[in-house]
Amino acid sequence: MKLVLYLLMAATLFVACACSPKPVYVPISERASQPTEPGTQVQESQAERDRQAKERERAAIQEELLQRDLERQKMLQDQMKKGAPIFKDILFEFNSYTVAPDYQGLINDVAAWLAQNQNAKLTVEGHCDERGTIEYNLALGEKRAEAVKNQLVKAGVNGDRIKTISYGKEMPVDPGHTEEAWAKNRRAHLKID
Amino acid sequence: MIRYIWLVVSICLTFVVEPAFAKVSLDIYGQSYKKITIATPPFKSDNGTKVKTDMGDLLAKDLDMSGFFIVAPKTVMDKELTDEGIDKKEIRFENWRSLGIELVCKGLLQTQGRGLTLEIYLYDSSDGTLLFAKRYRTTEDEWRRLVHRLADDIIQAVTGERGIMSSRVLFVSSGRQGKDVFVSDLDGANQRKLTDYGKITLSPSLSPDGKYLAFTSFKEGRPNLFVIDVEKKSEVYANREEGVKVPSTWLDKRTLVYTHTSGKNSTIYAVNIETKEKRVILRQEGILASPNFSTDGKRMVFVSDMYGSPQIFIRDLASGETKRLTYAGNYNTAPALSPKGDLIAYGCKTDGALEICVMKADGSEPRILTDGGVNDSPQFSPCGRYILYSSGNGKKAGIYLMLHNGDNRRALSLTAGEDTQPKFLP
Repeated sequence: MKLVLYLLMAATLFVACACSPKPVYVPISERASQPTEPGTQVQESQAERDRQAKERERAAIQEELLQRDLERQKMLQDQMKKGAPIFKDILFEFNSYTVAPDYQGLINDVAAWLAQNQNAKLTVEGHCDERGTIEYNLALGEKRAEAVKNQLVKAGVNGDRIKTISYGKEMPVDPGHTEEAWAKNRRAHLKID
Repeated sequence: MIRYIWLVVSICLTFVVEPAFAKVSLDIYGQSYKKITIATPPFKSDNGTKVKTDMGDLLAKDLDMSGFFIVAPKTVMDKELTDEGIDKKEIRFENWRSLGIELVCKGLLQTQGRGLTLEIYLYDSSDGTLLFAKRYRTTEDEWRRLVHRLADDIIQAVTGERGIMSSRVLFVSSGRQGKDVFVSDLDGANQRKLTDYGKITLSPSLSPDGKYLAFTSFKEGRPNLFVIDVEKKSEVYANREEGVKVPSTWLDKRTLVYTHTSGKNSTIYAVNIETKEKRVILRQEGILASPNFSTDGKRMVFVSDMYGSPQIFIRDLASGETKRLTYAGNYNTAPALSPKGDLIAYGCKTDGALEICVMKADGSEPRILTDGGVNDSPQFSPCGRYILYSSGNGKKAGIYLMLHNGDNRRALSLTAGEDTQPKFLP
């Protein structure tokens, strides 16, 4: 099972690298552009430059998304190397910050692991789906993270070992715009520090 | 504050007379208003400069965005019309009338070195009355601002209230890394990046004098509140306590209002960022968000989930009397009081979408203005006639401007990234 995971990760890394644009070397002699006539052509080339700048920015954003994906993979890898378990996300109903009773098992597992690893600390990240306002979701994310923290404290974990942080709707795990994506994004993510 | 070099837009000859037709007024619950048809034939010019065409195009764009005009497309004007002089006796108003055009805006553009002079004459085509005449002067590279001034003057001549085309907008844009705060003219020109942390920075709010910028930033990992001096870029105030701290608005030049959600409670605070003195405006269990105030500072609208879902409330700050305003649906947030205090724009969730709505300040007559997608952060213009908001529909989110009755939605063309959380700057 673990091997399959590693293979999958390696494959993602490979594909991601293969996609990133490679710089192409162009000799200076071939780089010289046609001299432009004063007047309209200058304006045209200005528009062209603007367009190219926008294109570049768009490409950069794509690259950034890829980069973020890589970072996420790397983070997971690091965590696996440290021997820290990867807990499942705790999902929430729309607009709710109540931890569903189904997660009691997971809460107990996390509490038990923390009891055995007294040096470990936990960060609970609260996240929301995109169908809410930015401001309200920041507060809602905090409430979700704190709700999970409260459950863990009830299960016997010392509250000082748990940090909460809200990302509102800023870090969706699934960038899609479907019910399925939204359900995945309404989550509390558990991270061992 | 972003220094504004208002390059000598001199007013040498200006006069305005009452138009023959009724002034355009907006009533969002009444009958739909009627747009005025206006023609902006190419300005006369001493030479065929490109700036002449650009200015004409921008004027047409501004007038269209204002929502009060139907701008005659260039194609309806034949050579006879475009070659016509700018003087009243040279104009054959019956030709314009036959095209259904009510107002004709004629201009004479002169260039001297790097200076520009534009003379504008606005005629009522029904009887040839000169409604408005003005001479503008500026430098070549400030032509865009000149055009915005002109558009605002025309809007004033026709509607009795100045336009907003010279306004700027404060917003958040996602770039190569994270999100940062920008300021821009409404037309996308003169953009300036106010923060540059390359992390997630949200909810910007500029003090009334433009000196300080408040925002929430993850630049240190957690969502902390910062206030910086815009010019010096130095940190003036910070709140790094546990939980989420989100700034909303300013009560005066030094007093910032923000919401702090941590533990059981949410608290709305007012803090003097120079003396660091803070006071609680409202504290409640659960979530409080998006406080904003009437111009006299006596009433506060805000969001609370005290009844299980986010709803909008209004509170009389002196008596503490609080009234729930929204009952429809299970998600009503991001309220914004209009400058006159008569309307509230807000976001409401319908089936799968987050819409911009408007209701009277007592909660009556709610109306949905947008149609689908995720719409957020509605803000009234200082004149109250427009609403700025962000909108995304499965693709890149951008900032839009519409009349407060939902008509004339126009996308602002700002950055190549995702633009959100707009606020008007005068």
